[in-house]
Amino acid sequence: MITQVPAILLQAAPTTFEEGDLHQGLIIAIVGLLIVFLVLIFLSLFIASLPKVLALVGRVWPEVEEHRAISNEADDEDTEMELLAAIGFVLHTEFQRQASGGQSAK
Amino acid sequence: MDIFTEFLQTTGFASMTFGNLIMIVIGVVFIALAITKDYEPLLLVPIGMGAVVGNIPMIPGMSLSVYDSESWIITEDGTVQYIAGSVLSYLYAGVEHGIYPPLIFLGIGAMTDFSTMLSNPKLVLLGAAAQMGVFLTFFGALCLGFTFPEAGAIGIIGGADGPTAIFLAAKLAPHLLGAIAIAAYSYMALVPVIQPPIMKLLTTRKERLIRMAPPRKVSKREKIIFPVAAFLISTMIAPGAVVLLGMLFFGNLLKESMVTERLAVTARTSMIDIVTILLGFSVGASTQADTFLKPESLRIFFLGALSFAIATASGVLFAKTMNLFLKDKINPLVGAAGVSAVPDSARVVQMVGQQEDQHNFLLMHAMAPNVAGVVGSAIAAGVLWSVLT
Repeated sequence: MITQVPAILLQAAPTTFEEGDLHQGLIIAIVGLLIVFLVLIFLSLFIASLPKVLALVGRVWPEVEEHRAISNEADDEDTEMELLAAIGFVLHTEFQRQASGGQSAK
Repeated sequence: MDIFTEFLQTTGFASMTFGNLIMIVIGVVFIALAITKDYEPLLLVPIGMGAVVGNIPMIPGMSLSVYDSESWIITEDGTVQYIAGSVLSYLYAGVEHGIYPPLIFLGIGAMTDFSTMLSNPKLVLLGAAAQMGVFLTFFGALCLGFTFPEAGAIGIIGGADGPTAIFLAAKLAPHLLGAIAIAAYSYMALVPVIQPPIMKLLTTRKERLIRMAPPRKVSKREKIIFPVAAFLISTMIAPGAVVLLGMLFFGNLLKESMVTERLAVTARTSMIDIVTILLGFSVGASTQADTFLKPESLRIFFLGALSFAIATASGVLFAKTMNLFLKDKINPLVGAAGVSAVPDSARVVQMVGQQEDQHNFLLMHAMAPNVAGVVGSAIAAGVLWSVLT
């Protein structure tokens, strides 16, 4: 004999609907909607007050326009440009030297 | 000859049912709509192909279907034997256990810019108003005889958020998951068709012409603080939303923190794409005719359409109500974007607004209730999950 236990049986069975449940359903719907509104009202109030709070904080701890990571990126870019310029200069000098060497050989 | 006859009996032609055929046609229609009409192609193509794959008749005794999950059996001699599930069942496990939706929320968070919402906080309320669709449909589903958990899972279709609908359906009514997911994504694809008539019906031309002040510049510090603070505020009140909102705001923090750009890029590109493929395909494959083609699926589709309509109407009407008290009026069309189909419903607002005034740009304003709608629908899902479990 083989007994298989399907996974679906291990889950809770759905509750059955009864006549008086509509009233309870209506309460759940209203309370649920109120909770959503409550959260978003709080969120809205927080967002509205955030600039004012940050203005106060900004007096003590001013906001830095550029972040460290961005400044590092900018530094990297500068270094890269300098490196390219140096390589360009060396190549240019070398080509000129070769060109002048070639002419003299002729 | 016997082997040949046996082989013929295992072919799809021999065991194909009329229901399978209908589902394959539906899958092909989804693919065609995505390709020809450009209706949510990133979702409809995987779902459509999944529906085609899932409705090829399976060979008895072989683990092929999404529902052939792993199991343990007790044999006659009392030993326990493990039977591996099908490949599709392992892919479907991410849907079944609600793993994919939070990962999609992570990607959404990493691609969402909350600036417009931060610059005009009163528009957040429109995202809450649109959730009326969820709760009224929940009540409507109860009236139609669905159980509480089923009604909750159906109601969330009105949140216009596919991952949220799948997440809640997997938790509350896994047997309806296929129908709910298909309804949610179908109506999301049909946002440009469903919303405009309702928006025009509920607004006057004068209202549609209202121009809104451009949003203020939001500082970087605000953007960084917001995801952490918003997460704390939301989940302290509605802890059921912790999974979805946690991932959403975590993704947004990756984007805004400036120091995790690589992670943010991965979350909003490669990762969300991979998860969308797995989610769409496995949801499509779960729509096997014998589980999907039932009268209750039709009722779910009806309730889903109703839910979208109510959500759109609630957003627009709430914006009109807010205008009674506001000095700087809101264009009530923006209320329709409280339906969290990002960014489709915001685009519809822009489109309907520009039909009246070519120079009225409502898109950026509509993005505020749009992203608030994402937060609102996740909270609604969390509330329903915690109450109905």
